[in-house]
Amino acid sequence: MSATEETIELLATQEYKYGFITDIDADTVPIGLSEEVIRIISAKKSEPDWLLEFRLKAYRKWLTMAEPRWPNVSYNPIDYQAISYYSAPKSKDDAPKSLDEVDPELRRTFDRLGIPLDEQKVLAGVAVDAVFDSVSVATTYKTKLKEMGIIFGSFSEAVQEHPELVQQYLGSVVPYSDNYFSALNSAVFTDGSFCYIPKGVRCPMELSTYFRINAQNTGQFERTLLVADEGATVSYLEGCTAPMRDENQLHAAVVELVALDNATIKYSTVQNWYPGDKDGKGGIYNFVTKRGRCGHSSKITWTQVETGSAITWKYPSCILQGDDSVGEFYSVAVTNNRQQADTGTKMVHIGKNTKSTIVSKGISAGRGQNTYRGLVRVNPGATGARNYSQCDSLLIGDRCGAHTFPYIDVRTPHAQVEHEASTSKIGEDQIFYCRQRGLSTEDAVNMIVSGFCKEVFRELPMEFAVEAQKLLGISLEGSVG
Amino acid sequence: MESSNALRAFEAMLELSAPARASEPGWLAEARRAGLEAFRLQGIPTTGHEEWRSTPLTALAATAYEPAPAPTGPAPAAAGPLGGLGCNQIEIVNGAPILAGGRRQVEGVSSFLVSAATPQEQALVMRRLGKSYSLNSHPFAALNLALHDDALVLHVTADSAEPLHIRHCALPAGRPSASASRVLVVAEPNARAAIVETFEGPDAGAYLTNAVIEFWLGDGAAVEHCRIQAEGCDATHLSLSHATVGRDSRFTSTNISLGSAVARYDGNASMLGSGGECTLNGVYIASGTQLIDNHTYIDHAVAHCQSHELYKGVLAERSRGVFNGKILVREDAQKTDAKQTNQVLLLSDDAQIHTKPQLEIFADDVRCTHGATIGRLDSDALFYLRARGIPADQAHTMLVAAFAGDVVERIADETLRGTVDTLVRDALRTGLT
Repeated sequence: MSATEETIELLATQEYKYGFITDIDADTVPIGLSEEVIRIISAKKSEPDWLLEFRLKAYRKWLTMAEPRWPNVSYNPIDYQAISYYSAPKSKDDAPKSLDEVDPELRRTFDRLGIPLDEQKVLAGVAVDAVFDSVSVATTYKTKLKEMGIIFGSFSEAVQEHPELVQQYLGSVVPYSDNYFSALNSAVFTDGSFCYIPKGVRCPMELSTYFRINAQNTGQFERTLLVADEGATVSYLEGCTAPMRDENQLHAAVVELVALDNATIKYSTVQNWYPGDKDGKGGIYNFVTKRGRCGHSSKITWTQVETGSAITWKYPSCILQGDDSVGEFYSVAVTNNRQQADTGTKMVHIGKNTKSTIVSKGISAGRGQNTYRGLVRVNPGATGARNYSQCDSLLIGDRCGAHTFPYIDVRTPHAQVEHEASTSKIGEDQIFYCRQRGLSTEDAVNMIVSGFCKEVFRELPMEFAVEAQKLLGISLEGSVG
Repeated sequence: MESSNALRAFEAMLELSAPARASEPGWLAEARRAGLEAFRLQGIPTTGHEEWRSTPLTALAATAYEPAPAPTGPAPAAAGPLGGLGCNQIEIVNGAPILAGGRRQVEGVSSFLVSAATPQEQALVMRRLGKSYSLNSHPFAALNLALHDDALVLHVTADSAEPLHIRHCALPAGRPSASASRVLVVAEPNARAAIVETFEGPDAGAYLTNAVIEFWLGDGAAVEHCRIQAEGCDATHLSLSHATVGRDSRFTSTNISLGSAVARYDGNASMLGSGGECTLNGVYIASGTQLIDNHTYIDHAVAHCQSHELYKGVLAERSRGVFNGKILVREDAQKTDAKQTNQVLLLSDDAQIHTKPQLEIFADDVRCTHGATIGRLDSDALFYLRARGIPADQAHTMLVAAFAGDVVERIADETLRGTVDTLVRDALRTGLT
């Protein structure tokens, strides 16, 4: 195995490929959090009073809450007064009106990340709402979508242009009082994406947002609200890479999905934020609240590939409220070096004949700690509910950990709930078998890992599946043996 | 820590028993003090505590328990199927072990009370009593250490021929009473024993049983443990068993939980020697408004150990079940093979189950699986039986009995298996109708 070990050594020292910092002026609010800061953020974005009120209520609630200690992760305490809560890229003009007006420095960053904002947008066939730090700077394909009545753009725009929709649905799935980080987000969120698909419309393209964290010491508080009206169908992609830096950054996003009757939402995420170096220095703290509410016969699918962040704390959930609704969760979470992930899902069965599927694949390497934490709850009225959960862990190396905490609460006999979990490692015999057939250790491991994750990858849209495979390779190659 | 009726009652019991404890050896006083300190620190857990999130102890906390009176003689003979277990029996009545002269010798096992222990025996006990589990994560087992009457020690020195029966019996009392019993089993290397514990009490009147049993298995030892919890229907039953499993030794435990209004059982094992094997099985049957909570915890601290768990629950009427099975595989515990299965049958619209099979794995070369299923009886199987002329209710009973029988039939001792089978069938009959 010495050849293997060499390869491992070589790859283990590999640094984060997407690490760079773009040097542009940022219009930043002084650090710290107070009602004053919230009023400044709200004023800067010329928000209506009800939104300011929402923020302040959330802030007051947040002050009374304690940071959760139950996740199976450890990190140094966060100083919430040392974070700057607002940062918008400075531009000479108030806002760029076309791609040509976008700051060239910024565009180069996007190019290096491979974001199809320029001519690539045609090839990729993706409408992109690019979020650079906290303000959306460019939106494409908007007119095309507009013709169909689809509203897709930055959250701030939506607040100005469609306040009634935002007011109706904001906080309807994740109330500001839901948890510590959702309260924080509700108080200080700066921007994000808003999407509304009208009745019966099938969105003709994958909607996509690339998140990127830039200016130093800026917490990123994204807010995403996606509403699929009756009978609508949409597939939404979310992906992110972040520049390398040494200081930990807090990211507390909130994503709310509303699937009205007969609607279908597919929400896919590839998360590749800076995980910190191999000693665990730096890296993003990713504390995200994601939840969807299902109406009658609707369906929400969460697919996530989590390879980045120093700490991930994230439970995309489905509230299966309407009868015959379906919730799905497919996840691949990778922790390498000193990464920690505590991720999973919640499926709350309320309506009759509701179905949920959970497939979670956790891969731990190096000194990574990977936790699956899930809740399947079947309420008394949810007759005919069906859940199938599967969580598999793959361990690579003898200093990593894989943990599962599945909570199952069933309050009706008219439900069928199954949970399975297994833990395994890449066996030397498996690698030997592949090498015998002329594959390099690296390829062998990639093959085995891809096979392990296949059930999840095939749920991803094509464009993402490719990126996800690549990311998995980058995140893992370094530590396999 | 908020003061409650129960807390005040426990403090009063401690005070009351202080004079009698004054003559105890220093190490025992020290152990009691450690237990008390740990209990005071934790208090009575609320549902805000992760390990107790589905098991509210509000009724317990509100009750001003009195110490269960000291027994005046042996308890009345057990009625029903439990009566058939009579051989080689030691009674613990109201928490106090009854052993004439403080000791008894049967083939392979010498039993004695700590109060009657010789200096050598004390040396054996002092290293082990209350030392196998963490006092700081088991409030009632900590309280037990402080409060227990006299610990019963079973020293297994060779192969014991017959199963030893420890009969825990609570006598009827006019008021809510509490007792704490403690058993320590030390199995010498290569010794073998089978130990049966039964818990009985009156059906009318609330009482609290707090029982702890610790097993220490030397290298190559084998202990088979079976506990039958058939407490009265107003009882609160809190118990813990912890096995410390040595090299190449084997521990098997079957937990049959049928009685009590609220029953919480912690079945723990620490695998401290390589080649060790541990099996924790259980059946729980609840009806009415019963709450049965089973927590198991297997700590794989060293390499090359195996553990198996099979827990089955049948919940009828408005009963609630809790199962929390935790398997910890520590960094160096390579080649661990751990398997856990939890299956629950919900027989009524109002029954509830909270289950959490939990794996924490820090080693890579391991095979760990867990599975949990929750549902009703298979309608195809019911149809099959009915198509063959078996009435619906009978078919129903047959299938439920077969479901629970999967655990029962793994009990090695034939007499015991027969008794347990009868008990389980009785419980199913009363629970289902």
